[in-house]
Parts: sequence; structure tokens; C-alpha cells
Amino acid sequence: MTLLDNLNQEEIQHLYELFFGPILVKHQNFSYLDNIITLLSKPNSIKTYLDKLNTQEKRVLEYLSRFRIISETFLKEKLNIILDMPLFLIEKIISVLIAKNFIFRRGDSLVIPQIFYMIDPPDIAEEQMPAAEGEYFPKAMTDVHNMINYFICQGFSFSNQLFLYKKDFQLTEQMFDNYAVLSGNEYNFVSYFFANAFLSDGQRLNLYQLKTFFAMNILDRAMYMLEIISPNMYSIIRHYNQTGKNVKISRECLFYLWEQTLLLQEFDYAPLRVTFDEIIKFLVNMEIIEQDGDQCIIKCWTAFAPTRKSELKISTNFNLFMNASALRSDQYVPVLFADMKNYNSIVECEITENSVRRGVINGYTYESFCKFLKDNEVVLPQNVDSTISQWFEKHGSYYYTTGTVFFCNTKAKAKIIQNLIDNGYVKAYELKKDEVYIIPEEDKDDFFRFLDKSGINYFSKEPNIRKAIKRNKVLDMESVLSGE
Amino acid sequence: MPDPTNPLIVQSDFSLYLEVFNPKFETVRNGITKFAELDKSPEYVHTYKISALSIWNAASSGIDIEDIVSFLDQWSKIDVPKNVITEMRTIYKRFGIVEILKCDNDQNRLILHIREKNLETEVLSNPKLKKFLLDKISDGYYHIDLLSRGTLKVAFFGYNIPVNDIAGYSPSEPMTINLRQTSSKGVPFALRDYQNWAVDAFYQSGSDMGGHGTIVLPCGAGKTIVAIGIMAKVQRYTLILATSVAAVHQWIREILDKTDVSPDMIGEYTGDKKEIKPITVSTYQMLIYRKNKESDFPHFGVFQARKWGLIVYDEVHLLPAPIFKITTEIQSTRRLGLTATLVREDHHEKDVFCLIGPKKYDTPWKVLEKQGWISEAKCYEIKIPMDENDLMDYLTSDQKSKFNIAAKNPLKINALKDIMLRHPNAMVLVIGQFIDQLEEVSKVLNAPLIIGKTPNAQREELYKKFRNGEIRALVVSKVANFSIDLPDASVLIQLSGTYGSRQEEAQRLGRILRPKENNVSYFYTITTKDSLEETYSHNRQRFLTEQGYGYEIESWEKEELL
Repeated sequence: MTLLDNLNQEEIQHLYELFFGPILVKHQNFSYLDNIITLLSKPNSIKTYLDKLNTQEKRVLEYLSRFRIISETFLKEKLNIILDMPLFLIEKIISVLIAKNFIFRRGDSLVIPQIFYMIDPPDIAEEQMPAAEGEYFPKAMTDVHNMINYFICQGFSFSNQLFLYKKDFQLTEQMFDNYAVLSGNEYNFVSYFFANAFLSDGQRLNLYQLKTFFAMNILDRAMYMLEIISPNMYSIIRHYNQTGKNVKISRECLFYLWEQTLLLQEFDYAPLRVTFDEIIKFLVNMEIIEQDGDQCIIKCWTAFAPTRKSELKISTNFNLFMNASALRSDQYVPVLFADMKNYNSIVECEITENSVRRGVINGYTYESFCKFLKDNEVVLPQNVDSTISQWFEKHGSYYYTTGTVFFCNTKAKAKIIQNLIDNGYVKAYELKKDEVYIIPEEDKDDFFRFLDKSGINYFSKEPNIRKAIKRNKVLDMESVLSGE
Repeated sequence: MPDPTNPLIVQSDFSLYLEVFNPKFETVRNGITKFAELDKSPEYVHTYKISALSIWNAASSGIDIEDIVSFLDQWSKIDVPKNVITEMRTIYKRFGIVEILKCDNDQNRLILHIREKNLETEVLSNPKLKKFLLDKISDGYYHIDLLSRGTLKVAFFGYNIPVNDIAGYSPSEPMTINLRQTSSKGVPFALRDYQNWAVDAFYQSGSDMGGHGTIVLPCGAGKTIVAIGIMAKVQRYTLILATSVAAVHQWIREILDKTDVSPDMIGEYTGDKKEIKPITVSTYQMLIYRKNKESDFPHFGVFQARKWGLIVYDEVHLLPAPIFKITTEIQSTRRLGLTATLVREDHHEKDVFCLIGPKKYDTPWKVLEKQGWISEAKCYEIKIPMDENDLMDYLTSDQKSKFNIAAKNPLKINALKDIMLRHPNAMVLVIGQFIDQLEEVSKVLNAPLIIGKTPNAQREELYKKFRNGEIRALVVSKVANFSIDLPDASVLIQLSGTYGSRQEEAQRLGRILRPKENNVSYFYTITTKDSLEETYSHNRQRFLTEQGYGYEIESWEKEELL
């Protein structure tokens, strides 16, 4: 592999033009590549050209030079995180570097000649240590669970970066500041996670995803969250966890790995704007990393606190109490029908007409509510019981939906569709158990494409519309004949 | 040390959860009330809150902060958050930094003593606080006007500076009041334990720390008796302010029944009589009466008519604004507030605390019910359908009309008759908001009606007949919300009310809470199903549900009604 073998002929010609300008008359044996190589053999030859760039352009080029070719998808967002430069500036610098033939655009990637900066990767020295002792259950996860619950009942909408808007941030701070170990920007990490993991179309709560998350054990929940908020850091942690040991690594090396993996990471959605220091602080809170001077210990947990039932109480005044550090698989359920009022060692919620309405809108039913109470052996005061059932009825009596209605003729056929939905292959909502589903308009194409691919046959049955037949007016012959 | 079998959880936001079904509950509850305020008391977990005010109250009662800290430590299930302890100590320290002292050489002035230099600078640099300081006596000592005593305390409190008012009270006229051993009817009489505690909490052995504050007790728990107990401790001329003429008469009856005070020592200052006696009972309406908005209050002179040693504010949650104003000027007199629900729909609770005084005693309703001091109350909400003829009108009306249509649902009268049949021998009160509705009910039930324009004499007569059992049912408007003592009433049927007023709901329940033979009362509310009235009704029930009352909700179909 030579320094320029990642460039095609056209790119090599452009690179030549960077150094020597356009060539008008070409000698028969002329080679762009040979001329560039000759130039490169002279000491300090490149420096002259690099000096034509300003400091910021040089910084960007230096980072890009770590790669022979790099995808341009979310590249400026990644560089924005690493270099802390505004997005518009990064975009402009990349355009300048391309225009000046320092780098080249090929499809949705950038091709970088390996001649400007020679970067030697540092030696990554690791030291393996015994795995973490005890059960994994950091206080930060208690905060995360309850913050998810808080976001569910508040129904916040989030900024473009999926952060909390200022007012909502203040509300969250008021609620959590007293008792949470998470603070400041970490609230935004949770909002980013929440919006990506549990909201469909940026707004609608996805109960299935919520259920799946809370069905996980606590360690998997933490890793899943990390995977969403910092997939590159997740790759690093997962890699070292596979050794089955705690691994000690210098902060400097970890930083290099973080930068490198962030630039290489493929994102389906914009990456969370989180700096290395912030993510390390967060991981320390999450007890995934421990800091020891300038060394970091990546912890490998082999045991975790199990999910268990914990006491729930609902009083006559519609207040619901639950232990904040409860670790349950149905931890999110109370806030589907109640509003969180206080977060501390005991979480206090209040069931109101509005909170029940919110639950109904999110697809939560009175039957699920009763089942939840039964599963948790909660005895509901009579006044609460009858009022809530009435609220469910009041707010659930009428509803409408838009989309394509999909019918299954048998229960067995419906089960296949239900499986596809549950496994996330297609998106549709059950309208009538084991029989009728509705496919949202925006998911219709994907739904039928998947059925076509899977060999599931179906047909379109239009409703019989009773329409009057168009008829022309019949002449009154009497009046025609009488000449009137 | 924290012990998982303990009933208390102290949270970092200064809230305390106390488990009711814990064997140590009683002990902890009795201790906790000295430095924390009861917030809610539903059936499983009572919620208390430690606030600056509650800590300063404790400080003013002479409780040491270290005793509070060790109490929390001793009874807590889990570790007490460090921030709570640190913050409590800091707040506690603020108490007593500013004091109001007596000025021996000028009766129209008092002395404000600021113990800390930094705070003195803070006060001097704040025009809203500096304006109270007349002249400097020496470092940290300033003269203040006697009449600004109340407003100064409110203003300083607004900046989180508690003022320890130990200037004491103006000289007042003494009188002898002794509690009887047996009431005038020959029934043995003595204060109950909780009444004695309330008296002691207020009086504080006659020290300047005591003598002002509010006693919160459920309706029917004998707040009047507590006040009489306090009067017997204070032994001074007393002015009592009540909510109605009927209540005035009740006060006079109770004082004569429970003390050795002779009738000529008690005066009634109302529209009918203008007597000023060593014990004078008047109404708020009387005192705040004036010809128009610009004229003076001609009856305010009552406050200066005697050198009162104690002023009692009955139903303090209803205290009207002009009474607040004059109360700021009579801070040199002992002040006792009485209420069942320190919930003011106008959110003036803080003014009650500053001007009348802090809450000195409070006890959960259910605790007194359990001990048999108030009647057990069974609460029902009966939901009936909307009359079909009204449904279309209801759906097309504005909010206010919607409420009226729902509240006046004619099917309510059928439901009412049905409920009356459930209690054939009980004494029943029917209460409502709309006069035309009540007039109809009165006709249908053939029961007398008391509304605002019913003359006092006629009201008294009807109440008397009801007490004697000559009348089985009384139909009343909101005039009977407060202070009406009808001990044998055991069923109350609420047809309509003032929108979502929690306080009204609690007060109405209070009408039937006096202990009785079988000690069970029934409180019915009839609401129209699927209407705005349900939402209001839910809000109305909040205070009582927070006290642990569980409403049974029944839905009756039209076909089931009589």
C-alpha cells in the first residue's frame, strides 16, 4: 500500500494540480503520480502547501488524515464534537479543502491523500485486572429509570438535538436536583436516549420499546442506553468487557480510541453532542468506568441486581407511592396513568383525569391497568377505583385513527402479523385482537414491501361504495312534440 | 441509627413519610409534629414537611436542633440525608438573630434587635425593611413603631428573616374564668388529652413565646372547648370573632355551659345587640360592615373598646382582608386562630401564620376518629345520569351554564328521596348551592328551609327544633357551612356546592362529625354523571381524601331511582 493508492486517476490529477497547477501540454510519458512522488521526496515540500491553509483548516485536515477514506454522513457533526468548532465552519472548511484539491469527494465519502500528516497511532497499553465485585446497580440507573418515567408523564417535546428545552430542563432540574447523582448536561443524555429509544415519529410513545427496555436486566439497560447515546464508546466498552476482566487503560489512549471510533462510527441519526470529558463523567456515574488518576478502569460486571417486586401503594387521595430504587420490569407502568410529583427515595405520583387521558392516548387500557394492580397486589380504594374506571371510559369512548386497515381472516394468520410487529419488522397497530390491524400511512410502503419479500400474499379489497348511477336527463317528449 | 423496622423516611427534599401501620407510628407522630408540618394524612403513609417556618416554630418553643436531629436518626428507616441535617442547622441558626423587644421608656415604640452585623447591613440596604427602623439606639438596636409590629414581621419573613417577637403583650384587663367539673346539664366535663395538648401548645406556660397561633382540629373535635381552655389559662378579657350570629349564640351557650362565667359577663356584638362585656362575641361581617367602600369601618372600635387580653378568630381560614389589616395593628394582644382546614382558596395561609401566629397544634382527622372523639364518617358520591331533556342543553352550553344544569339535575331529588329512605330515623341535613333547587326540595320533603335571608330568630328556632328532634330534616343553603352545632345530625346530603371548594366540602362534612351514640355518620354527595360537576366534585374531595377519607362511589341508573 503506497501513500496515494487510495486515489483514483482523476483525484491524482487534481492533487497534481494542487502542487503544480493545471497542465496544458502533456508529454507522452508524463505521469501525474511520478511527479507528485518526486515532489514528496524533497524535504519540507508539503509544508509550503500546508502553510497556505489557516489553523482551523489544518486542524480539520489533520483529523481527516487519520483515514484514507471516510464517510461524509454526519462527519461535520462528529468533527463538531471533537474539535468544538461550529458546524457551518466545518462545512465551509471541508468545501475549501475539496476546492483546493487537498481532499476529494467520492460519492458520500471523502478521500484523503496520506501525504499531509503522518500520524502514528499511540501504543494502547492495557492491563487486565479482576472483574468488578458485587452486583451492578448504580444510583445513576435509578435516576435514569425515574427520569424516563418523568419524561413519559410530562410528554415533553425535544429540541432538534433531542435535548430538553430550557423550561423543561428547569422543570427536570427542580424535580431531580435534590436526589439525583446525574446533573446538568446528563439530563440531556437521558432525553436523547428517551427520544431515540421510546418515541416514534419524535412524539408518540412506543409502549413496545418501553416494555422491551424494562424487561432487560439492569446491566443490559445501562449498556443499551450507552449504545444509543454513544455507540462508539459502547463499542470500546463492549470490546474490553469481552475479556471478562476489568481493564486499566490510560485516559490518553482511551481518548484516542474515542476520537477514532467516533469518526468511524456510522450513525443512522445525528450523534449526541457529548465531549470526551462528559461521557467519562457519565460513565463514572454509571459505574462503568472508574478513574484512577490519569488511568481509567473499564469495569467488567459479571453480576447485577435482579428485577424484583417492590411495594406499591395507592391511597384514597389518588397518590401512588413507589420505591425510587425499585428494579422492576413494569417500572414504567405507573406513569402511564399517573403524574410524577416528587422524586426522592420514595417516588410520589398522582393519578389525575389528565394523566389517565394521557395513558389512554398512549394506548394504555383499563384492562392493562387492572392487570397491573392485580400483578402487584395493589388494593385500590373504592373511590379511586370507580373514578379511574370512569376516566378511562370517559376518555376512551371515542377515538379516530388514520391509515390502512389490514384484515386477517384467521387467528393463526393474525399471529404471524403480530410476530412481525413485535419483532420490529413492520409497523402496525392492532385494532381488533387477532383480526384487524391499522398501518400508519407513512409505514404503508415498508409494510407491504416486507410482505412481498416474505411471500405473504394479500389483496386489496375496496369497500363497496353505493353510488347513484349518473343519468342524463330524460326529455319530456310531450313538451317537445307540443313545441313548448 | 437507621433501622428498617422504623416507620420514618426522611428525604433530601425535606419531606418525611411516616408509615401508619407501624407499631412505632404513634410515638413518632407525637414527636414529629413539634418540628414538621402535617401535609397529607391518607390511610397508608402520612406526609410531613420540614420547612423554615416549622423549624422556627420549634425553635420558638425552645426545642434544640440537636434533639430534632437525633430524633430523626433514631426513628428513620434509612440514613437521614446529610443535606437535610446541614440545612436544618443553618435555618435554625437564623432564628433569634432578629428580635422584637419591649421599649421600657416609650409605650408607643418597640425595639428591633439585630444580633448579626451582616444581617444588619442587609436590612439597612433594603428599603423595604429599612423603612421600619425609626432611629438607631446603638449598634444592632433600633426603635420601631408599635403599630408596625405585624407588618414588619410579614415583611421580614418575606426575606426569610424570622423575627422572634418577645416584646410580650400590652397590659390587659384580668377576669376570672374557671372550667366547670360538670357542665350545666350535669354531664361530667374535662378537656380531652388532645385538647389539653392544644391548650399547652398555644399557652406555653404563659411565656411570651406563646399566646399567638392557630389550632387546627377537625370539625366536631371541640375547637370551641380548646378556646375556652385557653381563656381559662389566660384569665383576661376576651374578644371572640365568629362567622355568623348563630355561631355567636353557640359560643355564648358553650362558655356558659363549660365555665363559671356568669351571663352578665358575656356580651353579644351583632346587628341585634351591641354589648361590650369582658367576654364579647361578634361576627366578622359586623366588624367589616361599612356604608360604602370609601367610608371607615364604624365597628372597628370594638378592638379598642376594652383592653383585650385575647382575641379568638373562629374559622380563621375565612378571615376577611380588613380583619387581616387591623390584626397587623393589634400584635400586642394574644391571638388565637381556630380552624379545621387551613386551606384558603385565596392562598393567604402565610398571612394567617404571620399575623395570627404559626400553627401550634394539628392532628389528623382519622386519628381522632379512631380514638372515638369524632364520629366515623362514611362518604358516598352518588352519580346519577343527566336528565335526557337537559342533555342537549348541557352539550351546547358554556362552562358556567353547564355546571348549573348539572348541579340542578332534577333527578337529584329522586336520588335524595331514595337516600332518605335508607336512613328512616336519622336526623338529616340537606345542603345545596341554588336557592330554587333548595326551595323545591323543601317542598318535596316537607322540611323547613334556611337560607341567607331567613331571619336570625327564625333560624335559631329551627336549629333548636332540629336539636330537640322536633324536626327530622332541615334544608339549608351555604349559610350552614360553618360553625353550626347540630350534634345529632348524622346524615348530610349535598346536592350542589361552590364549584371545587375543598374547604367547603370539609366544613360540610364537619356538620355531622360530632360524636354520637353509634358514632357513625353518612355524608352523601349527589353529582351528575359525565358532567363538569364530577370534575369539581373530585377536586372538592381532595382535602378529605388527603385526610384518609375514602369515598364510596355509586352509579345509579335512572330506572333505579324512585
